[in-house]
Amino acid sequence: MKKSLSAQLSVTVVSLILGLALAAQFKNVQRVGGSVSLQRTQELTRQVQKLEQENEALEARIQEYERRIKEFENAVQSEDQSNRLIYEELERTRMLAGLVDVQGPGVVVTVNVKHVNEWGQDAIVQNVRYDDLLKLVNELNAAGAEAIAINDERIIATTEIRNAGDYIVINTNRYSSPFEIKAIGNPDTLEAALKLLGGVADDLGVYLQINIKRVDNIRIPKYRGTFQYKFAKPVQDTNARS
Amino acid sequence: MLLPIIGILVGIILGLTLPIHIPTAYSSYMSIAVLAALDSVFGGIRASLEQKFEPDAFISGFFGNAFLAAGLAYIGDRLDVPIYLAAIFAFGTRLFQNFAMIRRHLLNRWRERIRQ
Repeated sequence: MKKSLSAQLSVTVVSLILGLALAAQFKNVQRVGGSVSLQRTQELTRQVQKLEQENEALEARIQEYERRIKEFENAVQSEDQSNRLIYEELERTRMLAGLVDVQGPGVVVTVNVKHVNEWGQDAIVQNVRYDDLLKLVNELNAAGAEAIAINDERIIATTEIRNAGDYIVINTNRYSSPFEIKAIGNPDTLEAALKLLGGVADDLGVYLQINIKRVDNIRIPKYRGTFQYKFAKPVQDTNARS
Repeated sequence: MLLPIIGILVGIILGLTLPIHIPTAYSSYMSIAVLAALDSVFGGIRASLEQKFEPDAFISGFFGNAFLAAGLAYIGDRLDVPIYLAAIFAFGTRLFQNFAMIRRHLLNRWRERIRQ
């Protein structure tokens, strides 16, 4: 069985291309994890839409309840002068808890992915991860920030910052880059704390694009969620220790 | 038979080592194209065993099938008709048929050798 050289060569070239395509596809599937069927996509889309609608309805209810609380407070305040002290204390506590919009001078830090040119292709070094944001928030708190918000999600005592798939969840809402961290405090101190030699900005700057800007007046919105204490109860007897 | 196998191996190694990335959106078309290409290669092996191999028909079939399959899948996606199923069905059936023929040819050859 003797074949001409050109036939052999053509088969070899075609096999080479087939091998290349096979390997490329194999790598792709490994990276992405195969394709998702159309039905499943549609089903998930419907679910997302339904949940979004439910979310909107619930948010409307929150606003309604907040309005009613305000009404009660106003009624109490006008009722008695001695209640005013209580009301003032309440306002102070709310500010501490992050339940009121606040404004003041501070810094705005934008965190975005860094693009590099790799093999002639545009690629990103690394996605923004939750611990990058935690480090920045931690540093800002250490530098005396009085209020912090990431993408207008107020950071409070129970705020979580965690990865969930391709997103980062903050106060149960999903976000992806770019992130904008607003912090109210002494702008000099805040900026200096971040820009410290070998500090957070230096560290994260290796693989992320970090931009720190001083702003004279920042507005930080209040926490939009609700609090529920199922397990924790205030201690009544101050002497009792366990 | 040796050169094509070497070709496939070299191709796979190159593909795994070189940073080739297919955008995720085109991954499904690529998979159909790969299936069509596999079918062509099996067809080529069968033809060569039957002494009917024609390089020009083989090469045009290889690229033509791959592009037609990927193109049909693309159009199907745009029109929301799963045409890629037809491609998978056609090429898959042919693949098994070709393999059966290849098997038979090889078995016949083996039997003849034993008889001698």
